[in-house]
Amino acid sequence: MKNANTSPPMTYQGPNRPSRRMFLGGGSVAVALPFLESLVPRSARAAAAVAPQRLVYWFIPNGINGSTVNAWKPVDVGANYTTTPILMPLDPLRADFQVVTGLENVLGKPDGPGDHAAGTASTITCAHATKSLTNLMLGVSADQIAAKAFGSQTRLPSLQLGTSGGTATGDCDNGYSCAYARNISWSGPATPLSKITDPGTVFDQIFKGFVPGQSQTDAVKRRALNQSVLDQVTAEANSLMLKLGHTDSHKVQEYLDGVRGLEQQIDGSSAGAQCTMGTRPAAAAGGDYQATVRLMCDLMVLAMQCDATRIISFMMGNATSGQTFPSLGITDGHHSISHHGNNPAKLAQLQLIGNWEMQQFAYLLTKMKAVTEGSQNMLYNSALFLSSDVSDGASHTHTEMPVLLAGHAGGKLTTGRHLTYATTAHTKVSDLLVSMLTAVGVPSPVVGDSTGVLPELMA
Amino acid sequence: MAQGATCARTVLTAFMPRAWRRPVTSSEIDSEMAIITKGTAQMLTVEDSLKLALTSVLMSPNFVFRVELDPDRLSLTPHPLSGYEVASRLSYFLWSTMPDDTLMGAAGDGTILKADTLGTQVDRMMASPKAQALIDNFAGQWLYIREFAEMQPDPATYPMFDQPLRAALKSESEMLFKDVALNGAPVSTLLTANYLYANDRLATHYGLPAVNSTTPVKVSLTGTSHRGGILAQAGFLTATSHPIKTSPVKRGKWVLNQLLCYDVPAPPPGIQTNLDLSDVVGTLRQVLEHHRADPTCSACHNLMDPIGFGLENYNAVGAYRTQDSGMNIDSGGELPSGGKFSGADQLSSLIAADPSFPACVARKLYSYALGRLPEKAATHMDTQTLAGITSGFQSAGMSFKDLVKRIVTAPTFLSRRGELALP
Repeated sequence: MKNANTSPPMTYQGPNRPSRRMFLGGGSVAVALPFLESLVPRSARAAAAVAPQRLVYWFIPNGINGSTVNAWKPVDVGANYTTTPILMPLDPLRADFQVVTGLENVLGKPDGPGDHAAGTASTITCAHATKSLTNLMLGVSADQIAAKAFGSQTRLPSLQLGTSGGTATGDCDNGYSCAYARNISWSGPATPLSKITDPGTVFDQIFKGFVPGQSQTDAVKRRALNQSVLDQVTAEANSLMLKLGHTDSHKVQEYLDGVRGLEQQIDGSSAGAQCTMGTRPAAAAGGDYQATVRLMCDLMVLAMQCDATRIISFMMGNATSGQTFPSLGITDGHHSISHHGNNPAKLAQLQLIGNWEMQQFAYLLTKMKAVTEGSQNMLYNSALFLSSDVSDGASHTHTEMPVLLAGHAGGKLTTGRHLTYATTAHTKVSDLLVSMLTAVGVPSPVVGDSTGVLPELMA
Repeated sequence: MAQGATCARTVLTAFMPRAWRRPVTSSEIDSEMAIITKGTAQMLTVEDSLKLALTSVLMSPNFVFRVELDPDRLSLTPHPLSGYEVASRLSYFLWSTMPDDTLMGAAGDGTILKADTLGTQVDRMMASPKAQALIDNFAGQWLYIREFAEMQPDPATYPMFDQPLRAALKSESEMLFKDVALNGAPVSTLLTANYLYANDRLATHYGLPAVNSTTPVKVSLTGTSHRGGILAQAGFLTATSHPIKTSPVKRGKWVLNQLLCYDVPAPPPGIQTNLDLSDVVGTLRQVLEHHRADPTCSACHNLMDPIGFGLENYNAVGAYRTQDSGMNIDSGGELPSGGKFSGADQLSSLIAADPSFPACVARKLYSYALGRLPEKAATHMDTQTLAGITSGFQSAGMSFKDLVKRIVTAPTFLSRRGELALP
């Protein structure tokens, strides 16, 4: 059995690829749910009484490197740390974020080669990706743990954005499925959430079902009827699973899990803020990368301003991104350069790229800070995480990860400093993610290999 | 309402078998009708209620998945597929879409299960415009044509690489495949064709005389055009290059993986895969030969690089050249079988004559048809089936359509089996 609406998968590389499919017939393709949006309730929206808290997870591909050891990591710690060549663009916002160094995300280490895919997959799941092209097994990402906890409060439980698309099938990195290389958000261990890369589509998502005139009674009635559709689909899936082999039955179960996720949306409250719709953006001219990143930042702020969602993940690029940066004079691909071999010219280029990436993150933070919410602003009310698949693009390390934690989570998180952990303490990225979730009120969260909150992060 | 309900039932009765690609039972229709009853009880119009029911039909796993049932889920004994299941396999293989009325008819009366009917259907389906899906999806993946949309040659180094050229490269690769796949020529023609499909943009890129057409036309090649065949197509050559330079490694790996089904192992863990060779001077070939002095690398790179070297006369956007870094290019190369060659023409001829090539084409298409990789165990039914398909295909003249017919009449295409529960 396979997804009827995609072509059969085909893969190209890798020897002796393990397969536990020992039966005849049927490939296995991850199921996407492209047509389910129509079930989103057309609910009326009212101004929120309390400023909501938001979470943003920002992924950069290929690690962070620069010309010196301290191109990224400040030499000194505390509030008065000296900024670095890469972090420089964020310095005007230094009170609103902190640099956290010395954390590790070691479950991102693959079995054999494949650090980029496995590291990308583990970025916010902090889980170990099972090396396979078809039988995905990872963990639930921090954003989706939040979405399960409070995603139902908004029309979209969460939003996944990126700049580069591609399917979730095929081999992207030494036997690791492209699903691992192209998605950081996972709603279940086998369920990657594909991201939107077209700005116009993001806009449509934010405003779909934005029907100010609909009455509460209409909305309730609509929900009841949508529920009857979901009940029917669930019944059909359950009856079908009895007649399918193990693997196929598992695929239908995954699909059913996705359908059940919709029930949360349908049950969700319709409280929301007032916002201005603005104009639907066109894709950046010629698919320009740098312009696309800016558009995505604008849309993230718009989505949060309109309270379409409070949880966003954003991939600046897919794993092993070969992005070029002609405006920085960088004409070779990012991944290729990231294998710098300590070549000074390549390290200098990586420093330029890192600096540029921080300019974009600073752009988002500045925009969020400009949105007033009560006596505070959107940035104050949010928590943002930035990291990569590896720390050093050449040696593919998963220790001393580049990590930024921005925003105050409504006053729950400390900011404005460089905080460093001794590598010998093996402090985990997952515990920082748990701290963020705790700060926004998710009860007792567990992310991958986490052990608990990092008390020094909490205000 | 009563009349509306009758009408809604008529719609569902016609729609559901199409959506689910099989006959439906009246109780299955009843279940969807129950949604309509609920809707109208909530004062929804019949039309709006029907929309809900149709949503349910399209959200059903019966629509989303291509369902193939196992009467005994735990039995490893193969059982024949139903006519409708075969119709779907065939239709998604060749058309990437649902079976049409003819296939559904042949499924209904069971004739689709006969080998001669399957052959007739293949002829009919491959003559249909819907067979374009096989070019888009099979050739798109096998020959990397899908990657052409994402190629990023550096604009400063290669200002001539514009969108019209990108489009022309895609057309060239697709049209050659389509020509070979549909017109009965041996598939080795993909390598040795003495013609190509070009418009004026591509002719300029290739240094060929103008063809006086903005749409691609068939152009016969004579003499030393350095073109003809997929290994001299700029689309493939660009897709396997870096933004600023060629990659003999990627090109060699592509030839091994895609044309010869020769698996190259991944680099060992922790290896530095992008060496700093800025102190080594010479052509790219000389630089790469330097790194192959490392025994950890040489085991595999001795297989890949010498193939890619044979294509060094084509730069990172596939334009022909005789020099690299101011020095003359040596396009001598060697296949893992030991066959030596110089340049794309000789490499193409060697591969065209290599029995691994038709075996690899058969393997790729078999995998595409079944939506899974063939199992490698010698005792597995896949192994015997694929061996039979391959030898028949080779001895019958390597026509692509013949290969399709052999695959769709193979026992592994027409049957399936259950699966032991996993521990």
